[in-house]
Amino acid sequence: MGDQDPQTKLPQEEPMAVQEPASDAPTVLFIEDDPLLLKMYETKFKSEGLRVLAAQDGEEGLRLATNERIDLIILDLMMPKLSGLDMLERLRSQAHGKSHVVIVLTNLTKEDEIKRAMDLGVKEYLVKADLTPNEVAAKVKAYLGK
Amino acid sequence: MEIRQEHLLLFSLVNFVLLIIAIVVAVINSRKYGKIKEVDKEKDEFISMAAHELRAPLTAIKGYLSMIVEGDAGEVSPKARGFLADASAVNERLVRLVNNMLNVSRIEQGRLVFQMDKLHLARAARSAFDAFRAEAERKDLEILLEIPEKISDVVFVDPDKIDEVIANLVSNAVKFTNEGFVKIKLLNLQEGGIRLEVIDSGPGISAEEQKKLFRKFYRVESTSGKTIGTGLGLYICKLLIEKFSGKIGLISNDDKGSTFWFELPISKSDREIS
Repeated sequence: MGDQDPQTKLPQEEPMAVQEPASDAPTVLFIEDDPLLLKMYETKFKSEGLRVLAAQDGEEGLRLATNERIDLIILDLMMPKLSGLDMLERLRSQAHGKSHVVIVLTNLTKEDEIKRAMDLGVKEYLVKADLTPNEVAAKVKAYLGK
Repeated sequence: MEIRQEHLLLFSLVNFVLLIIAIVVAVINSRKYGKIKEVDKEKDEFISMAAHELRAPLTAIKGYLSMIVEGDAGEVSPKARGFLADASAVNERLVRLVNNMLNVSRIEQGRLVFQMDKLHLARAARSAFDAFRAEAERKDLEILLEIPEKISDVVFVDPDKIDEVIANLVSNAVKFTNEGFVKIKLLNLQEGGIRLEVIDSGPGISAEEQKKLFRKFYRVESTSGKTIGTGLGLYICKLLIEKFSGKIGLISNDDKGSTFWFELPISKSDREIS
């Protein structure tokens, strides 16, 4: 388990015609290693008028969070290279990384992980399997004041 | 005198041998027990990992189904909507199953943190009724809700967990009943508690099976001879209800349907009829 099934690689073509949001739209950084889930949330968020930047591991996520204009980060926890919480710890140790609004979106519900996430200033700890993409988008938009 | 000494020696020797045997037996037992514990731990870890891995594809199925139903991919015909509702209901059942697998070892080991709060049980019963109405109606079952007009129903529990218990009981009733009805009923108890009953007109459960029903991994054989589920649902319900100082049980006769019930104490400051 954990091995990436080649069939679930992120498809290049966009099946649904989603209008690309404006470049000044609120930007969400989605850090999620499962390509299928990433594509699903990305499609939903774009259709809600949000700009989405995507990273498939913690290192890439940290790089984007450091170099790009980001309004909100959605963070998965179990990821290759750098886990979600280790990535967040590094981000929080940077001068400009303390104020990022972060929502954890995971299927991991270990009490110690939840506590560690909250200690790192995470706004919400959401369980993927309990929510539809619409519900996740609604929560994100509430934080963005949309 | 000599004979006595010999007896004493023999007695000591026998005692010594018995002690050695006792130690050897104890060591063998502890090894066996240690091994069982180890296997048990490995099994729990495997269940936890498998459940976690299952959650990702289930999330994707749930997500895409909801997006189609919500019109993200264009207009949906009423017939397709019906099919999608069926697919969603089945998927929700899988999500519940996986959640049960993840929860069981955590509750047993006291690692599950409960978010205790006041809950109006009537509201929880109503939302379970709403959630299962479509599934019951698809099986041509009548689904009923019976709540007295005046009821004292505030309990101090983890509301999400009580929702899970009610969903488990109602889901079982709908699953095992092929014709007739499923009813959710609330009533106050004389000694200041509240009782929720899930009554069905299903095949009933034999006295023999009733004894084993709330045990871990026990699965009821359905009328078609098939067993369904993980055998964890009712076991978890029992752990949870007992955690909230309540009781759980069932009344059933062969061929006469079943009534699964749980009772919880009313939150102290809310004893008066609300």
